[in-house]
Amino acid sequence: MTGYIARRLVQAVFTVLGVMLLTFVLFRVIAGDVSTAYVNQKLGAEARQAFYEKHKLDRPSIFNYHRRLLLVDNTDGPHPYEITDKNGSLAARALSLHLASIHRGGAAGSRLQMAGRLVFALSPKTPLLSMTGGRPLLSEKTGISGASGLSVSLSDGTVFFVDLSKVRTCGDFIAAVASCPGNAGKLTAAISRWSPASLFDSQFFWHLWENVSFTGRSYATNQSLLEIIGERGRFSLSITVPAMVLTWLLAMILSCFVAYYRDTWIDRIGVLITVLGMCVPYLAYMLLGQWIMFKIAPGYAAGLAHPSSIYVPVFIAVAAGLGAEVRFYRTIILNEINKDYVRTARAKGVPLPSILFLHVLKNCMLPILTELITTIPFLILGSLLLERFFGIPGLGDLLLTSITSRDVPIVTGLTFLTAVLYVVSLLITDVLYAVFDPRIHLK
Amino acid sequence: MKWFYIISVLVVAALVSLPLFVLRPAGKKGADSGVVYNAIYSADVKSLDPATCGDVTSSTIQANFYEGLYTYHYLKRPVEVVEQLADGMPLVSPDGLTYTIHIKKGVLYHRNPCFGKDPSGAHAWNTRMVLARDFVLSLKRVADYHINTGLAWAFLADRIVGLDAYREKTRQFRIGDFSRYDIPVAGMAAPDSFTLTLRLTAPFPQFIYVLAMNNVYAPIPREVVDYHLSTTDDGKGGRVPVPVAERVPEIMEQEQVVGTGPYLLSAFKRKWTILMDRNPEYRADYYPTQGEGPSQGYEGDGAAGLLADAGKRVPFIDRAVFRYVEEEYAQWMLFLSKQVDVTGIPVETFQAVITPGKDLTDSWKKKGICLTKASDPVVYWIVFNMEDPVLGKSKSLRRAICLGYDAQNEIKILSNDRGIRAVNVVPATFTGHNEAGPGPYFRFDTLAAFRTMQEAKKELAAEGLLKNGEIPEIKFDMSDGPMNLRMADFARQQFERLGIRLKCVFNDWPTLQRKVQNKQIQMYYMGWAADYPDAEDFLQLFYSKNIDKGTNNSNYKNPVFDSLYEAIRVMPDCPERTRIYARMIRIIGEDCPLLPIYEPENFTLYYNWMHNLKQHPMGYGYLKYRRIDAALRRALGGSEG
Repeated sequence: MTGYIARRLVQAVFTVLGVMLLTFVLFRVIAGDVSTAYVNQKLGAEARQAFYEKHKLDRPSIFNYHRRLLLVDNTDGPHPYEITDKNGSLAARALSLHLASIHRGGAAGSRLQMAGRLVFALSPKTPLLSMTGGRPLLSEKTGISGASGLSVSLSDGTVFFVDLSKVRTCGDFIAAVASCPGNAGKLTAAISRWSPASLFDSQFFWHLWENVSFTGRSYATNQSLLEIIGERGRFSLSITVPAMVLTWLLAMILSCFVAYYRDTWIDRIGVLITVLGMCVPYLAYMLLGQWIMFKIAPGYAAGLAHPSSIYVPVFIAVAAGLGAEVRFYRTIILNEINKDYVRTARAKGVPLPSILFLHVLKNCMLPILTELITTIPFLILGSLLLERFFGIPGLGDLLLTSITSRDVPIVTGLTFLTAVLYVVSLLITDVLYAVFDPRIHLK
Repeated sequence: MKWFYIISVLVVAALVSLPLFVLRPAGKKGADSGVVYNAIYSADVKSLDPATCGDVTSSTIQANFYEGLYTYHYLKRPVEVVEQLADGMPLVSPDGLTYTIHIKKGVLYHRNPCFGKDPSGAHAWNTRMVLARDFVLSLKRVADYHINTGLAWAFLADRIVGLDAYREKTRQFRIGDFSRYDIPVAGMAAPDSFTLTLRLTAPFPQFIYVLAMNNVYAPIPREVVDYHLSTTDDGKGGRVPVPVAERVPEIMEQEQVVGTGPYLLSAFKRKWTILMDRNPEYRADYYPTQGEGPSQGYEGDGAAGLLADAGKRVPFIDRAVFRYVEEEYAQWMLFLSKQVDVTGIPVETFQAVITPGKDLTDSWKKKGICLTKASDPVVYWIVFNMEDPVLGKSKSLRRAICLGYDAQNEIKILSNDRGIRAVNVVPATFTGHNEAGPGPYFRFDTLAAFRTMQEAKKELAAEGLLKNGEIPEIKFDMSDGPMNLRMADFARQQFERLGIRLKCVFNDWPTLQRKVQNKQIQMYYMGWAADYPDAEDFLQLFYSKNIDKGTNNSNYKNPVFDSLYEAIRVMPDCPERTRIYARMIRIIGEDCPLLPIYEPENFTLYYNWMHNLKQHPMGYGYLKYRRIDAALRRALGGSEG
């Protein structure tokens, strides 16, 4: 048994990894540029770059073999460290030089750095133009006098000028900085070191980490995923949990009733009603329910002004779901009733009600409960339609709006949660089968 | 087995009754909460920070607790700018470049922990007066590279001396490093506590309107940045600093909102409820004593009863409850069951409620429901991409499309006739519209359309752009939504009449934005809401330099138009400018880079216990003027309180 469980857990890990890969491909690769929804396009490329850096979207997709150009300020002064373009140079913007977020402080290795964009296989021979993502290094304006280049202002106040007019490759740039008059070792240009650990500093692995550790934050509101689930999950659960248990209880009662009177007109009418119930669209139940509530008790018809108005969507969910459940349970019960031991018991004169309630239901409970367990993972997502219509601030509604507004961390986080819960619930149902059904041996 | 049954029934009963304990009602309903105003909002409030406010819902909510230097007069039409936190209109230097604004003395912020405990002990928290340097901080935050400002920055870019350079400097700072707010900006100064001077790069006659976007440039006390954004609650009653790498520069939580407005933000639950309570220390503000006079079609504010509360101190309503309801049916039913005081009218019920004469039917008047109408300074149009090989090259094709589109019918079918046909790129109430006259091609004339179509075919054949002698299929991009589906059908019919095949493509909003930005669309449907009451706001959409800026989405390039635009840009309001406006509007009317469809009319229903309701085309923050007769509401079966 333990061997079986261990093996299943390993399989579960691979399943979830597959789910993560799929969500990554769908939401990062196919969905494309999410910054259009969160960054005002009028602010230009710099704002978009800041957004990508903040959410680690500037990293390479799967594996990171990339390095970047660094400009390290070796002084340790109080002023802001600035690099600006001068005389027609566009290099600072083109190379996307920005202050890398490192901790400043006395300890060795903590210096102010300007870092450029991540470039694949960066070496001193790489031409500068291939590092700029298509942006030109020089402005097209004519009539500019003086050498074009970068004006550097270090944190101790030193100011000097780096001439870029003859610089073609990355190595030239590093040499130009080193040989610059005024720079006595205060500013070093270098290519960042690449260590095998940074192989995993890529979008895919950050995506994995963010989901596994539940540290994702919404792009729109910056709330953490846990906070959002805590805030809104209970509303979703308040609809789905009562709906699930109530449906189960009512379906059990009705299906026992119908199975007992099988092949009589009660059974036929029961089946007719359940099939009708399954055919009516969900939306019809909702509209009808809401219309009736507005006539009877308008204060409870929409929203959550009173906690008990949650029962309106609960009852609608029960009414809509009852038909299918009754059909399913009836089938299971009838399967059991057709077994040999029931026929023997009937032949021995045991009345049908006691067979039903003492023996048959016990054997039916296993498939029924295991089916119930596999629906548990989806309870937290709530019911999108019910939440929308009745104004319940649950997770289902949030999931849909997150998809349309490309709030990727929320979508992937909820998908991951559901995937893990589902895989675990499948494992539990298999184990339960082995525990309660002596005929089954798990290998 | 018997135990199983009993236990399972008990478990079911317990789980079913669980919501009653888990769900607690949002916000406490105090016994003395006073007069309560119930309203609905149907789109999420995207921002609680004045600097990032860019959509209507955020502005509507924010304007109740944030106030700016100037605002628009509630009643006067055409709209007029009046002072709000400023003391008098700004003193403008003769060259139009320096604005000196005096701030009212004694305006207090909402009490908040960021100011510390109240020394007198009368209140929990302290407060302080609004000072000129708070406005400087607010403008710096708008210019801050790390704050996702949209609308707010669009009006200041290239306008204030030194502000663009400041924005570049902020780029060098890390997101959480707020020492960047200490850097001085050349063009913004607070020479003394209650005076603010702003220096512009070029004369900008519409600057006063920019300052009247009241909540966007609301003052922000430095304490909010230092306390709420730089430190956090340590759980033991004290504050612990947040590491720089983890700080968020924008105001996002309810307790971080510190404004001067008539209402305090008591509770903010995203996409659920917003609660606002009256600010007991709100400055002395009074209901206006003058209003709009009688004119054609309107009896005047006095006769309409809008001046009954003239001179009284505002706000009247004690508490405002905004509920998030997305479905139109639920919104409508909530209004009919008297749980909500104001509503719009859904398309399906419009005919039952409004007569063809655009007035309320008698049966509805008997229920105690009243109607107010206002025309919004918004124009909806179909934009043609002037860089498209087919649409851009052939002026006759664009003219033919304009002549062959029955916009009046579209307004009737798709919007219940709730609007007027737009005949110019500028709304009907704006200066320049009447002087220019209606655009010669912005009318429905099938004969002229056919004739122009023949010319268009000749033009395109000369360029070699016809496919088998027919005009190639044109793609029409729209955002998705049920209304747009109907519009697509309508548009297809109109184009069929001209013999053009139309392909309608539906996109979600981010994809549509991206396509427009990358110039991948041929034509698309958009609306432009006036940011201020000046035609320049619409004419700048065709200035060629705005193509890169992103506001010129038709990619229209006309050197004559550009030179005229550069001229009026610095002119104050005068007859000469109006003449040039008319000329520019006529140029657009001749070139047809767009097909204007309609200017919407806003129909709002409200119950007769709500007084002083007048829709304002441009301003926000007028909830303080509304008054509710609570006794009448209770008597008619509405909500208590």
